[in-house]
Amino acid sequence: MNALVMGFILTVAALVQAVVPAPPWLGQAKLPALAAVVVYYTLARERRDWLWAAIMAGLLQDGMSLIPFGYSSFAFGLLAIHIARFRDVVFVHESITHMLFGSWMAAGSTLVLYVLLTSTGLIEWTVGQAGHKAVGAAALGLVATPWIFYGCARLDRLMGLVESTDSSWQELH
Amino acid sequence: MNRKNKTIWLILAAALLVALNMPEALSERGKSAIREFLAPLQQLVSGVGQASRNWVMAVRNLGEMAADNRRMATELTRLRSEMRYLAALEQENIALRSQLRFWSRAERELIPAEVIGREISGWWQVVRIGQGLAAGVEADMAVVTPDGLVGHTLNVSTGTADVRLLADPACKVAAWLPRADAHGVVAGRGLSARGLPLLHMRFINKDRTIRPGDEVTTSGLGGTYPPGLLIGHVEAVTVDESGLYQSAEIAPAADIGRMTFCFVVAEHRDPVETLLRERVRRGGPTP
Repeated sequence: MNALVMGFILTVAALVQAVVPAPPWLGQAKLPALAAVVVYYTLARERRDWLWAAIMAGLLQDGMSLIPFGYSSFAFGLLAIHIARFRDVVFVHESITHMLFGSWMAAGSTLVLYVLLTSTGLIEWTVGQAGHKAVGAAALGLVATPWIFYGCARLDRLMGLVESTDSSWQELH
Repeated sequence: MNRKNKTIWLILAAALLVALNMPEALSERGKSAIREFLAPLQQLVSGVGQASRNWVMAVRNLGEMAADNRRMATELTRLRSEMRYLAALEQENIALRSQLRFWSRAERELIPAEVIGREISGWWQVVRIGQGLAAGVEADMAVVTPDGLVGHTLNVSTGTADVRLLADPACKVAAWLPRADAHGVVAGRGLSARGLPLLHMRFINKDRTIRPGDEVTTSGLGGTYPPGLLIGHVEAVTVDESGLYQSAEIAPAADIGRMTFCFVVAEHRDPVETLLRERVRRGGPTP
């Protein structure tokens, strides 16, 4: 059931990310829906789940774009490992946490992908353009991650995959 | 670093190594499978989005519909008479070519296709269309709208194809300025801050006089794009720093940013010509 729900969440996130246009004034950054899902799994679920989520989200992103297979999985995995280090020292159910980590995941994965794609000659972006895109991704991550986090958590609770014992979470939503 | 963390890092490093060294054919097969799996869902989502946009537009433009109808009826009449005139010209052209024993031009077929999604990562100016190998779409085919050229097909699966748009920096088109009779290369420069596609034409003979408003079409050189497709119009002309050639900013004729429907230009080539093209592309021997 867990894999099924994760597959459903990732598919919906990929479709949303593909359909929503990239605003040019945000450096053509796309809505980081897949990155937000990885943030949810990293903060709210166990290690095995978030590692799988990072790899599958990356494969979906690469499969639906011109990025070679594995690049996005590596970027998401790297950022997820970094975010997981802070799990025990932050309030994982607070919206501000989701905003900050969503922003960091979106900007960080953009920069990691920029390094990988330019080093292999697949794109010809300048550092300035990549920086603009990373800032745009961070802004979109800041706004979108709390909503996506909330949606994922609701679905997981609905399916009985997590228990809603956290009082602060209930108070907040 | 504890043991668990080390294991995770090792798994990630191994996954990256495997992914980076994956044979292209295998990687393409995997991507095709993902595209095919998601294509119906993408089509559904974009269809719902388009339907709601159309509905909002219809409500908003209710008052203008009668005027639009009149305008379209006039346009239809004009186009019909133009078609009759062109049919007569084509007959004459065929007759003259046969008299001169010219090769006939390849027959072109337009495959209609709906845009079902945009590139998910935002690194490229690419859209996905809902037609693929099953409909006769192949890689490196020109894609047009009634207004002009929009790009060419890239990766094709059974039911979908990626289209690299003119605005993408990797998209280069052999172009021709009919009025000035000058050749050049049109390349994309991404999007402006307002979302307008930026095109740049280079290597134009410096002795030709180019004016703003001049039409730019495909020249047919290079093979991917057939000749005579409208790319856009000249906006500004500059002389290159080296002084060897002129450059021009081009405003694309097609509305690339809002495109929801397009046509793939399929040319029915002679099988021998197709084989030769394939051999040349692979760098193999030609008879």
